[in-house]
Amino acid sequence: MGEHSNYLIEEYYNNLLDDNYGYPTEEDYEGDKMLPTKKSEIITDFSQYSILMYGIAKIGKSTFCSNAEKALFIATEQGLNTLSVYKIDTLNWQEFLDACALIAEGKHDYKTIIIDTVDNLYTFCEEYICKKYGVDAPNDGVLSFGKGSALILNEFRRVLNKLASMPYGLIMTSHAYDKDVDDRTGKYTKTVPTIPDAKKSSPYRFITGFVDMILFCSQEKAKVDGELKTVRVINTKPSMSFDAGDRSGKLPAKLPLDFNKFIAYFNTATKTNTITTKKEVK
Amino acid sequence: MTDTRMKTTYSLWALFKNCRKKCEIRYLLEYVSPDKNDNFTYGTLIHNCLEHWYKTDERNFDAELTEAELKIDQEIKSIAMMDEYLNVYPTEDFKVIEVEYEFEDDIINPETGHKSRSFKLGGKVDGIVQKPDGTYWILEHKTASTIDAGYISKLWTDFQILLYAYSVERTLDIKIEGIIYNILGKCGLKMGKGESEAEYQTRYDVLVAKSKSGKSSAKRKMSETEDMFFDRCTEWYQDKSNQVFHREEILLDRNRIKELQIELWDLTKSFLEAQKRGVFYKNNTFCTQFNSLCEYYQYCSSGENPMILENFFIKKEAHEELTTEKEKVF
Repeated sequence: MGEHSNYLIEEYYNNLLDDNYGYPTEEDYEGDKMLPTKKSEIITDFSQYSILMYGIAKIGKSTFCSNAEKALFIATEQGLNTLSVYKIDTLNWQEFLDACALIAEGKHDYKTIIIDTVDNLYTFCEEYICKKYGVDAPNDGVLSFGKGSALILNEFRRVLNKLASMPYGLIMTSHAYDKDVDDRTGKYTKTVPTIPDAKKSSPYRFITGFVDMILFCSQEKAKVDGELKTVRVINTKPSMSFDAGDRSGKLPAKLPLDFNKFIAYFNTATKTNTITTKKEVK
Repeated sequence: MTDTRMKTTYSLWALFKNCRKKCEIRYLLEYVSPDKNDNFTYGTLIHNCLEHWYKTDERNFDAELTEAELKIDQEIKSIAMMDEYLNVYPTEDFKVIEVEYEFEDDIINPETGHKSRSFKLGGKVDGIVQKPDGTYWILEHKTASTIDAGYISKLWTDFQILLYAYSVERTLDIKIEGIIYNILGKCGLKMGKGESEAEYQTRYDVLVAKSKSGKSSAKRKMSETEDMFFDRCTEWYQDKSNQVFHREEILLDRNRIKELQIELWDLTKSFLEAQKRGVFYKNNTFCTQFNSLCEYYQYCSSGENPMILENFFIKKEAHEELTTEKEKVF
């Protein structure tokens, strides 16, 4: 018995030595079949991206989105009256789910789904969960101690993940507001989307992690043909004054708020660089 | 020749052991939460006051209080704490050799005695003191909510200070006898908020309803003034001074240091391996500690979308508690 166990211990240590104490050796790297053999494909199709676009009301978010390829709006609030677009009006979460089911059937040629606005969509989800559990507010009664917020975010996440996994582009719009921030860096004002951003169960942080781009639409003064004019721009990089982001990191920090010009920049960037979308990662 | 070794601290290695991903985000990508941590600031203020006291023998902490920008109740409690601390320890039986001593040491392979070519260990100790018998001790200040048996016993497991004591010995060429833990208990009192007229009326009505005479002498509770709260905190510290100020001496355990060196060397190898492979894996059991989510949870659960870090975190140089290379130059 003792001899046998000694043998086992010896064999165990020999294996450890052979195995480089569990660390990979140079040979492991050379022979690893999991390593890529070719570069990833450049995604040039804008409709493969998930985007959050926000800005003050009437700045032109919906107009921008309406120019996306074969766009279908899922309208959660009024505001598209001045645009001629394909749209489904939704008034509650169930209607939104029904619209998603129709899209999932695939009997259409839409390529881009636009949720206008995602803020209202989250409110629909909130109302749906409250009704389901028979409470007035998300953290009342059986949904107290943050359970309600967690359930709402789970439902919201479930549906958006499913929608994003379909072969369509996804653009979500949101309004903007100025938030007073007091943190380690001092007191300042920051423009952020109006999507709720509670410390726990934050739908805004979920969406940020979910999308490929956060585009902030703003107005600024610029010289056009020698004259100082107010121009509308898209900001793609974050700053102390606003949230924004471009997962690829290849887009310029500022672009005109014009879909055709935006696409032209986007195509130039994608033709010269490799951009990996969230969809591709999945 | 320029020293290209990566500066590390005990905090980095402790975090690397617990969650490699969190360690990568904090120390390699250098992102931190922008949120203020009031408890941290309170502890820092007391440390700064003690640093000032042991450096200058001056009892005026106005500069430290102004710098901390604490809420008024926290500020009042800090002043009361320091006042009573100086009453309890008006003089010391030790001589202060160094205050806030910062060191930079090699990480040594305990088996071969060779130093790491990739990493160095940096750190800071609150003080180094010499006792009348000539022995040197590390002085370590701690602020604690409760100083009970559990707290005192846990001091033996403070590996960071053991490792730092060893580095102090090497860099100053002195023998450290042990650690003097200088523990200051935090006052749990809260500043009285008072009640509104409506709240008073409700309370009054309840008392009247219960009273057989149908009357009550209850008066409206008014908000506590800063002076009143300061007096209450001072009284609290005076009453409990033998409980809330405690010194615990722990001798340096040389066997423990050896163990820690072996562990540290092994960690450096694992870190290099993780860097080489570009894989810092997550420890999922560390995502929810003390019933709260890790600050980087949303980043990790988003499939590491960089936009989370760029929008919700700020860049802060690693080891901000230590002097930066830039500060050293100027």
